[in-house]
Amino acid sequence: MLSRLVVSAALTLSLWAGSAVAQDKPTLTVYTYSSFVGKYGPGNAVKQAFEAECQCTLNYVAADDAGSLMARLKLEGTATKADVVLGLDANLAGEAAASGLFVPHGVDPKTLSLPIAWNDPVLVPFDWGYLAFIYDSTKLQNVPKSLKELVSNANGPKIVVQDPRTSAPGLGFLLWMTSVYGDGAADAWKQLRPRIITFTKGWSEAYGLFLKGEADMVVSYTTSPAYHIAIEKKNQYKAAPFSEGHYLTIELAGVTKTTQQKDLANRFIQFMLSDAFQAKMPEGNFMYPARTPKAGLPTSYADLIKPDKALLMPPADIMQRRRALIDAWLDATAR
Amino acid sequence: MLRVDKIEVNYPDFVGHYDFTLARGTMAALVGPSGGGKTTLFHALAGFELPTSGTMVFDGIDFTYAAPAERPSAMLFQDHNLLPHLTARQNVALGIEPNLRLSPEQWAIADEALHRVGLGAFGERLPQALSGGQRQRVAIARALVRAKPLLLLDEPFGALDPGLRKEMIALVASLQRERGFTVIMSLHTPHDAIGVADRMVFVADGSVQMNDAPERVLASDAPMIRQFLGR
Amino acid sequence: MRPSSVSTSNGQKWLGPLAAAAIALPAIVALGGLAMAGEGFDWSALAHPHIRRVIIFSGLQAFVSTVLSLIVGAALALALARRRDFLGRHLFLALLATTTVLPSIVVVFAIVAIYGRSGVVNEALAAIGIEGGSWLYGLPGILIAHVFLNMPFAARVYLHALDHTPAEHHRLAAELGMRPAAVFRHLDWPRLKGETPGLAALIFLLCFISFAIVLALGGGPDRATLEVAIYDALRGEGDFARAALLAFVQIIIGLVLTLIVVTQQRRPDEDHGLQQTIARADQGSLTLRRFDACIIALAILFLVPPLASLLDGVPVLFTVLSADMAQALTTSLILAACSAVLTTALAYAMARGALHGPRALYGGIAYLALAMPPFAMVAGLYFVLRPLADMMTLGPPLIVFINALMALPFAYRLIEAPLAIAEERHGKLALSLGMKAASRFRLIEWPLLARPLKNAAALAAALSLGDFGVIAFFGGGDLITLPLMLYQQLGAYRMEEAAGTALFLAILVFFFALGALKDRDDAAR
Repeated sequence: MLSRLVVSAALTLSLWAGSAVAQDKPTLTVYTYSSFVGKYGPGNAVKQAFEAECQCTLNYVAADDAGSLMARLKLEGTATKADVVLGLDANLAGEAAASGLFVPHGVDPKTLSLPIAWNDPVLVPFDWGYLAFIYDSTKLQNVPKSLKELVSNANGPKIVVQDPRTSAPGLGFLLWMTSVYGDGAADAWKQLRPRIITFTKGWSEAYGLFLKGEADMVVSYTTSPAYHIAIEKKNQYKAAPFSEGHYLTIELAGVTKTTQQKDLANRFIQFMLSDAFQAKMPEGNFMYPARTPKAGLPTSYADLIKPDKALLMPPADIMQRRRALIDAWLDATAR
Repeated sequence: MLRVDKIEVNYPDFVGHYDFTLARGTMAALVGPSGGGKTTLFHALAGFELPTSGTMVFDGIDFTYAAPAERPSAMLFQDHNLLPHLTARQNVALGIEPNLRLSPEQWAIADEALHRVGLGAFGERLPQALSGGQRQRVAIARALVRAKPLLLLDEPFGALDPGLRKEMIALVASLQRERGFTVIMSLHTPHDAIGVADRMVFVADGSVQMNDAPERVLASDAPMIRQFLGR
Repeated sequence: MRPSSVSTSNGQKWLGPLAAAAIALPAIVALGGLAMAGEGFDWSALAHPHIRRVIIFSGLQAFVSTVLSLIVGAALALALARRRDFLGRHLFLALLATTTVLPSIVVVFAIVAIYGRSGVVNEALAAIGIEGGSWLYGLPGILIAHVFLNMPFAARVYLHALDHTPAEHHRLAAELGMRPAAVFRHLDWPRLKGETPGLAALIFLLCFISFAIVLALGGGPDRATLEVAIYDALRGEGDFARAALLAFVQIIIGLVLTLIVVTQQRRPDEDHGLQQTIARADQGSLTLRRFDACIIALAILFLVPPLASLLDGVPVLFTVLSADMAQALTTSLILAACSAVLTTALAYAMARGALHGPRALYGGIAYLALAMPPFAMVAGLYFVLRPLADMMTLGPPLIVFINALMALPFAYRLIEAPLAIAEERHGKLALSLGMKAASRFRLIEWPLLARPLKNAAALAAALSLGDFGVIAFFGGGDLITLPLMLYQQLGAYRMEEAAGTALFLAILVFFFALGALKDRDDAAR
């Protein structure tokens, strides 16, 4: 038993050393987050499609999530091996710009199908979504019609949200509250606090708790019901439209300043905005494509709510105010 | 008188049959090859193993199925006789009152027993601060305070060097004369018994093969004994 | 003059210091690296009252979790030591081993399935007209989850200690006619007491750095730990100076705890190398029999329902057994085997060092491993090692190393005492025979160390199997372990498949533990 393990360990080691050996074809190194390349993400299909047309090898390096990706880039600085970084989000765009690690992408923002104007010169969106509260329509009757209704109704639904310190949708919800309430956000948090079951580490815990019936609503995306429709054939999960508008999540990619494969990297960005890539976003990442493919959106997206207004704080503001906003949130929600 | 009448002790891979008597106040040496059934006999006498048949009687009282604490016997093991976190004095006191709530008179009895085995000045020491011989002396002192008429010693001095071993055997013998105990002591070296023991009980193959004066057992021509003694 | 080549102690003196350095150095390098990346420590991080509240709250919940785990664990261990033949004892012992390795997210869902707002308990209450509500979220949830994770571990460690009471002591107790109270006081209590300082420190630290559980079941941002703040600083804003300071504070707290343990803990006075099924002096008492039955029944009632909730995964168990799963399983097993080997080797080397060197220092370093904040450590080490090697290459060794560190305190505790006993009994003999290290290990130490080494290896392997791998934080190559796969499934809405994977992991560890128990019984026979 032990010797067999040792042999297979040695094999694994040698395979993994072998993979580092340089090959004839040029290699494009793409830093991304793990669920993009995981079994259920679009990563593998993207890799095959791109390699088929580029005569190169696409190599993923996966960090935990967007935040870890940024932290890793900051640690590596100009020594980074990344050619392309795929999977930062708008909340980190300010930091990414300030790091000076990216070069302008040159994509015309008018060609994108985003609900707002996107003018960041270095990071280009590849998909996006609206944050929304998801509920089970077979269980919840009086669905709040606005964030203010949710916050002010003392007998309103119980919710589970993510901790803004550890989770992207959690931070998104904090910014949503800030966008809607401005200086009154702290009071709003205090009002909402009794109906927040808990703040989880990540999206998975929160969504899992919601599905297990622990909360009436959970912070997720307007596209979440599409999963239940497309994969589980269940129609009962709905997103609640809020009249103040919904906060945006925009996922971004950029080419690093230090890349040795500038042409290949730019080609990847072009590929990223092509139909081949974009068509995989709706049911691979369960997010809206940044440039709607010619074939349009899948049928599972037909009945999704379409918010009238998209909310987004300027990235530079987020970078400057993040610590203060979190500290204020901590004070407001502390018991 | 101790009478062990055809008891049978069953283990999955070993069966012991024992049948012998010893007069009251006898100092008996138990000898025989290892694995021959000496410890099994001790465990049956002390109540750690119950025989499947037969009876054991001491001075007319049948103790075959009595609880270990209700028997006429006190036993000393090869090792681990003392509880490591208690002082020598407390270990002796356990023999008087296992909850260690003793009256001053009872403490005096414990001290007196320690004194008798030559450890009067060592009462407050923990076992780890005592030598191997001293630890066994503490265990003997505890047997003294328990005042049981039958003392069982399972190779108690096997780990000690020869001089010390002789000294300890002499201590047991003098206590035996003083208090009139019946003693059964298994010995690793049969010749240690000469001049001390009244009887020698030879156990092999799970039963008592001979029970006689030490000189006679040692001089026996029985093949089993010759082989054991290496003659 | 005495020639320097003559040694009065058994050789390989470099072994202990080397192992100690292998453990302490990365910690120092990691912290230094983080401080370098952040250009210093950010002392202002301590100014916000939130950090103080978090330290106080995590101290409080960790303390209460520890006390509860130890008391219940000790009661359960005593009951199990006294009742050696109830039906399903082996299965129950294997279940005890299973809870320890469950990934925290699985524990959260398992606890919620029973005690949550729509859990079994509330449903039952609703049936008789009582509104349960979400009482779980807050201190109750944190305590239930932490006791669920750590009490079985405490029970196993205590049971191990109780089972190693010399048989003579129980015979002596029977001879002296000790009542159950006296047996507890003279035989069991000293054994339990000997294990308590180390066990308490370990459980306290595990609860103190607990992360996902505290957030999910705590209900509020103040119900957090320093680990959350470190993660926030690293990930949320890449503020390494802040992370370095918080990591430093956590290490200091760990250091204080370690000092307390090292000064309190004594080596077991006596030990039997071979474990026998001992006939205990208090087995017969009727009162105790009832008491034990109650304790075991309550423990089953507490532990089994959450574990049974994992059976949700049964319908998908076979659909999740894919090629990816086989790959993840292989990866997990290889990492677990490497971690087991490294843990036992480090623990052995440290224990050898402690024989001839400063014992307190070695013990301290062995325990300190737990106080190192994993995220900060990975980030710091990464920063320093980055110029030397790629993360793809560094990832797997770092996973193994960090997993091994987690198991080290347990392994060290298991190995130190028997090694000291082997040295006391036969060290001089080995020296006089001029035995080389290899033959000394084989002939003198192995007979006494075989079982503890195997136990330590099994424990390290099990801990590694359940570890999500902090390394995934930065991307440590393409290694997908079983827990990582579980998180990927959860992250992609596949809750049902995740339930199947969780069940598979639990079954794996359960049978692993069952097999180990059977081996032990066979060996004792």
